[in-house]
Amino acid sequence: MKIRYILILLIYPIFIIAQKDKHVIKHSIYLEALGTGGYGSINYDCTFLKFKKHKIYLSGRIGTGTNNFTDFENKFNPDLIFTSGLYAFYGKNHHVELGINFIMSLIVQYNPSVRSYRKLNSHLGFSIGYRYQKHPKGLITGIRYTPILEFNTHFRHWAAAYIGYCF
Amino acid sequence: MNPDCKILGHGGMGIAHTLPINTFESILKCLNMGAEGVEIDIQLSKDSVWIIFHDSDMSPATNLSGSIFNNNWQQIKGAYYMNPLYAQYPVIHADELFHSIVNKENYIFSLDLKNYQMNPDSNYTDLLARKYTEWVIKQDIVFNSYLTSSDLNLLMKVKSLNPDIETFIYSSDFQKSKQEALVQNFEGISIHINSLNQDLVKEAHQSGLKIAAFGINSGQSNIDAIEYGVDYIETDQLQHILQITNN
Repeated sequence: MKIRYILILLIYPIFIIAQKDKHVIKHSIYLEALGTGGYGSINYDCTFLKFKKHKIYLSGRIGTGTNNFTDFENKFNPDLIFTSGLYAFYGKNHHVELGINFIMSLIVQYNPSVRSYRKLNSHLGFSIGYRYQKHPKGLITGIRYTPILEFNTHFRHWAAAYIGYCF
Repeated sequence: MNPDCKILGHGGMGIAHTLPINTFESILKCLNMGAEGVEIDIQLSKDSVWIIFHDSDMSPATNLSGSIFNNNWQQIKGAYYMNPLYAQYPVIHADELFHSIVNKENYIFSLDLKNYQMNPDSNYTDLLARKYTEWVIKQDIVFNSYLTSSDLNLLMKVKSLNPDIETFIYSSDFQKSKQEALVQNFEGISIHINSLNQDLVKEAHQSGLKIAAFGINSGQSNIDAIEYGVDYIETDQLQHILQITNN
């Protein structure tokens, strides 16, 4: 819980200090290996605020990933992992990023009495990383350290790399 | 390929799979994919419950710590594997697993009995042998399972309690294990694929011994195991071997 408050305290000053000088809506689609979406995820990212003077912009992210596509009966029945997050980026072409993610997982498990069921859990993720984006529209790529507070109790070191397109 | 060769998943789907070995999900998936059996690790808890678990300590693989033999099932049943991300696959009771396998008489079970007692006395080995013998009878898997252990005394005691139970001696030295297996009337040798070749398999077969090969963690080692003509392939690459053998 402490980490959650620390992250909020770190992100909150960005809203206070920065002077909003332009509304910008930019969209990105990217594929992430590892990261908060499990072993891999597809993500949509929307930049909704840009503070040009301070080279800061804010974006929201939603994504979905999985650990397994087939279940214990070897039938298509993927684990579902949904991730959403809020990110702050600083920089022009080379960006430093800081973010917080809320994750919901629905993992297919076996139980002798009910056989197949989905176990629902929520998790909290953090992100500190680097993004390279030379042009406003075009390729984006980056790496992230994404520690996760799994089940909101266990801390796990985790990381990600991603590549996508901004339009 | 040995026409009698059986393909077994190591701990279920193998160590490289996202599902942890020795879990319901991994073992059932392996059998549902078309494997002819499965290799599983069993340990006896303090209150004499057979638990399916590989390591000497529940940490770091699970959220709990301590050895299986020092804990009761009530304590162990809260354990779940820490991998993969976001999942909580539980450590399982062997009876519950066998209750969950439909048509278990159609499969082969390689049971690797782990005894992590540092200095097991004769009484403890007697207890393990007796409990194991009773349990395979209760599960009705005497004729479609084989016991693997590195503990020669344990295998001898099981064999003396029930000669119908197939016993395989774990081997780090083929010739030594072959002699022990022949003297004690064990059915076979459990050996790492890297310690095998076609000639050794042939030599074992000529002596009336079967070979169970483990450590098969690549496509090439699947092919090697097939070419050597082993009797049981305990593979970590199940999907690959099922594809190449058209199972």
